[in-house]
Amino acid sequence: MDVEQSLVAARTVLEGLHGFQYRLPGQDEVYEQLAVKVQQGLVGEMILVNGAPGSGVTSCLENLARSYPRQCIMLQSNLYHRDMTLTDRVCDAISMHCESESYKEPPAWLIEHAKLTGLKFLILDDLDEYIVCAKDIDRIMYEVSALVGWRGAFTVIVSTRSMKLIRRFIKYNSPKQRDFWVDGIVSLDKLDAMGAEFFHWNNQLLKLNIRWGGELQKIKYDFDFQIDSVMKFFELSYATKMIPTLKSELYSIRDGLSSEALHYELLQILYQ
Amino acid sequence: MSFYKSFISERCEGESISSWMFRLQCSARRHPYVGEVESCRGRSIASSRQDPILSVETLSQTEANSTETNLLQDYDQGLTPAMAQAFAERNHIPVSLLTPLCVDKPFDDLYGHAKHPKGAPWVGTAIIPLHHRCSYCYQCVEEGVKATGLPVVQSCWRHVLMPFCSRHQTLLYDVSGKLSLNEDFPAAVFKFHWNRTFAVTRIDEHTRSDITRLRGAIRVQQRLIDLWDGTSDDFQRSANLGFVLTLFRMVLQPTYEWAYSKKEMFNKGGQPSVLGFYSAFYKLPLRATAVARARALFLVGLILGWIDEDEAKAPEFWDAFAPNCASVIWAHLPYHGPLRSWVRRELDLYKLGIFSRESLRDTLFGW
Repeated sequence: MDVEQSLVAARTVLEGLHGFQYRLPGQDEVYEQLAVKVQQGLVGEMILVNGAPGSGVTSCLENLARSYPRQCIMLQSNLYHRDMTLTDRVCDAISMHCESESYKEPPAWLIEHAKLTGLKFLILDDLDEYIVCAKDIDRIMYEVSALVGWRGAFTVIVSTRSMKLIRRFIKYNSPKQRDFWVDGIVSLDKLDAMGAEFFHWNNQLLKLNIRWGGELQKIKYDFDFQIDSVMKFFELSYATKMIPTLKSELYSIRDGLSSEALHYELLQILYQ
Repeated sequence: MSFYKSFISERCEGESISSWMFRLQCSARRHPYVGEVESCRGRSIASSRQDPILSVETLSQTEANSTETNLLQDYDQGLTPAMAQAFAERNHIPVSLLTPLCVDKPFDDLYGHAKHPKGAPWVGTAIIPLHHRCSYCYQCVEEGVKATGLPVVQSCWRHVLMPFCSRHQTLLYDVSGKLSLNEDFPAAVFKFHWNRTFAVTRIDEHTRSDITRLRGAIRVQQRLIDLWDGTSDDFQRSANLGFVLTLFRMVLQPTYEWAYSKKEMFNKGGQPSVLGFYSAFYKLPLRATAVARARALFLVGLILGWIDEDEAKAPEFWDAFAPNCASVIWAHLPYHGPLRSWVRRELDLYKLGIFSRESLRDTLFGW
């Protein structure tokens, strides 16, 4: 691999386009609890799934939608469909939407469709993507509560990072409201195995043979073992190792360079 | 191809081609080949992203694609390879999925067409044209939703002599005539039913109160199906169908409108008086609602002697003035005007089957 190809590959890893996903125990726990609800067919609930960035909230919800395609609909936000209400999006997801009609509340036929097909679990990942301005928060909360409580046909599973929405959600305080937290902390004893897995994944992806080992001893533990910080460290390590000619310049890691500083330096090298 | 087979459900038994193609379209939209889930006006966002700039030209092209659909194409009356190719290109699906349907024998050829010896081809059709299709069986639609997630429309609902669902033995409902040309007709039917319009309630009431006549009409429909299925000769089948169709058309003419609940007779198409006699003779039955067609089938059963007159005289509180014997029907065939002679002429054209004017009950003396 020449320098140019190495640069492209290193950028791919550094930009997080490698697609590696580490499944944390917390993610599995939340997934199992949600799966039980889906299997039992409990409707009329509003469920908030939250977690630190990178803890796998989206993966958890995607897995749920993939495992139970006959029960769950994963709604997608679309930049071009800002005028659509949440109910319209549900209708669109089941291919029963017409451009000329718009629903603020679930129509009778939608409730019947849910009963007949069993598609009763609506998954809304990143609810904040549906919000353009402040007044949309009220609208979204009204629409979610209409889907959940109007005729009690659906359970809505929501994830969001908007604190305003989370506050509104908690304030809503319905007896049928449930909160789940996906724990994104990586335990120290699993770091090494996770790193090896990350390197193996990328070696297969990029057809390289970069070996994992020794990185943990070199680093200064300036991150808090949140999954996103750990992943960032792995990406930095891999990208660093991919440029043997530049390696000497990066030995400053031994001098206690923080990961943020290392990232900045690496960016300068790779994107010059 | 295998990618598509993984999520496309099979065509249901008796499902119309247009209904299956609608489901195919929905599946292709939900699982586009390029891997994006959402779409924007019939075109996937991913393919929009491939354009370097979403320029005015691109937008106008997108608009053109969205209005490209020819709503007047009736896939159920025979899907040609050209139509299949256009549909496949528009929805980004392999044309090989549709190729088997192109050789499928259209419903029209099976028992939907009586070859008129002298008339134009459309004269003999018993298939309701696309712009007048309105009837549906809710139970079939419901079963389709359960099985496939989307409503399913059966092809036999467009046969003018089949106002009852042959599977569930129920009177078909009618949607508003405005929905006939909708590309998403199956979805529109499901929505219409659950909007609980007055039409649905009224047909439920009618079914409850007019049950005796409806039972008679179901028997007539079943007997006709048995007759067509039992006749191997196409010529015989065509002649039988033409004969029954002529009687059916006769009892749906304005002369007999007193025999129907008037508001339930026509769903779409304006006042019958707008049409000339010959147009009205052939076209009115195609515009009639399932309720009116069921009543007409009952009257045809009386004329053919397939319904016992004692049974027909059973008291009904819904529509007390409806004729309950063949002689009353014949008595109201006007002496003057073209209807009488035209019916006679048509019946004579189709007498080569098992039916003839002489075999009809209480037929007119010297007719």
